[in-house]
Amino acid sequence: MTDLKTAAEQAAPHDRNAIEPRLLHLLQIKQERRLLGPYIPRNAQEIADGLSALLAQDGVAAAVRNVQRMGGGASKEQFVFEMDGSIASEFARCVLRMDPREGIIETCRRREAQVLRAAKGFVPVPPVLAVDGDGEVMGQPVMITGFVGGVTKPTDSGGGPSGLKATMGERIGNALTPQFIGHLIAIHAIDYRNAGLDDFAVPRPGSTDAALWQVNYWTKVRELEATDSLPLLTLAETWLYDNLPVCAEPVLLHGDYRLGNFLFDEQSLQITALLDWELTHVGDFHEDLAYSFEPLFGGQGADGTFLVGSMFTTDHLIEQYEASSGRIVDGRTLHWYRILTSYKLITMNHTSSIIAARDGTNHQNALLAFLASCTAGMSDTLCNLLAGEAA
Amino acid sequence: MTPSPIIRLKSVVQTLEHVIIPAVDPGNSLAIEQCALVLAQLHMLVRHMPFIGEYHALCHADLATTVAALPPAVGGPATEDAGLNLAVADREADGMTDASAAYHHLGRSLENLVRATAADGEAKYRAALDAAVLAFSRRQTRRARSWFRDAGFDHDPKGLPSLEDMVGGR
Repeated sequence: MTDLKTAAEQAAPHDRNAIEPRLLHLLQIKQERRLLGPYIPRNAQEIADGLSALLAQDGVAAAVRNVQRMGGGASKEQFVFEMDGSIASEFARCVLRMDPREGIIETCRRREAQVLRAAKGFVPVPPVLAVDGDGEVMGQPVMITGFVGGVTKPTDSGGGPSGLKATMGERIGNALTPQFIGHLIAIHAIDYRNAGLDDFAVPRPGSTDAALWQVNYWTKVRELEATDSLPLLTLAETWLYDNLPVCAEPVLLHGDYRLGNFLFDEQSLQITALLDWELTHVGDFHEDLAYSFEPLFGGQGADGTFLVGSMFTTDHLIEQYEASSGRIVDGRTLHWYRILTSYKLITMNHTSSIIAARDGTNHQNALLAFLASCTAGMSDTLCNLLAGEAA
Repeated sequence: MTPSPIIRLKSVVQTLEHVIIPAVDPGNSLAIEQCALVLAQLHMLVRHMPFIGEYHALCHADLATTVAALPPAVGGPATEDAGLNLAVADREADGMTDASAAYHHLGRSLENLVRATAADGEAKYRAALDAAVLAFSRRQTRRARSWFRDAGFDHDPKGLPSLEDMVGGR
């Protein structure tokens, strides 16, 4: 174990209830929604009817047609559809992202739409057409964006669900690497204070708020949703609380920045859109960097070196990030956020996934039960990190 | 007893593979993905079936041994209470016929002790407890990685023991 403090050193307790209000609210109403029982996925006609009602309410004069379910992803129900009528060309084909009754994570469509609008013009993102953040029209929260073409992994790359374990290959990796790192730096440079992020809370600069809120949130998820024991996770929880780092200057984070969460064009090798902004929050830039170190989100090069997104080394990421952003990566803070990354990923898979699969409250119950097996490998990484070893 | 659960599962897998999945609309990408996952999960279950009892018993036995080897809890009231509760949970788990339930019952109590010790445990005791929990977690993680190796997510699958070796304690 590294950096354990004595009981006396922990004399000043942290506020364990400090959680972003919108996120806490969503977690609480999820517990009530669970009582509704198993979820039966809706058919295309039901979705088309709901979309028509939502668009009419928003004053969008367009007819919905050709609604089809989309594959990919592990959290939201997604449908692609086309629209006829007086509407901008970028919305001729659209994507509906809809919350299932329960999923691997509980997130906010309103926040996601806010950040997509904030990021527009800085990084490639899908345009937002409409949002029903509380599910008033369709019964479940939804967001509609324009459809953006591209693939999440090379067509012939194989790999598992949600882009996991896909391989990019040298040619594609070389082309995407500078874009991937450049877009991350661009996200961190967005002025979140004047970006209309009304549902976001902002941690105080020069405090441990950014770190504390994250540990509090994922610990609350465990408190509400854990079904099985995992002593390792509680060990990590206590370590994280003991060693909270100070964040000098909070930035806008993507929160799930990895292979599988961006689209690229296979011909031009340009990233066409950054996706899945549902875990976005304001916090410490080390958090997004640390996320890239998770072995599940990468692969090994010919010499056995870990490659982020199967594309580039972690050393390359840090060098490029420091050179282009002007920020200095602190090794201890990065280590703390790597442990946080393990903590939250294991929490998702070991608690929320299991409970949704158990109760049949998701549209991909089989996927959630299967993905939960990720906990084993991620626990190995967490053991190594807690022991202060390279992982 | 006849047919065995494994024969029943294997027959389901074969029917899915050769009759049902080929009939799924190839344009329904979500359904195609789910089919692949269902098959992979069923294949893992066929592999797991003969070892489930042994695996759960092994996990519980290691946890119980870890708990038994802990020094007496030293610290403030939270730590001392959690230490007493752990001893009770250990006895209760010992009397359970379901090894998985016993594991989680004892594990939750151990987690309470870790949390309590972080709050008011004596530093030396806390260091010993945390080291024991981490050492146990390494062994448990290795077992779990072997158990779920066929899911395809592990970062070093070649370095893991087979199911037979793992449940045999090798």
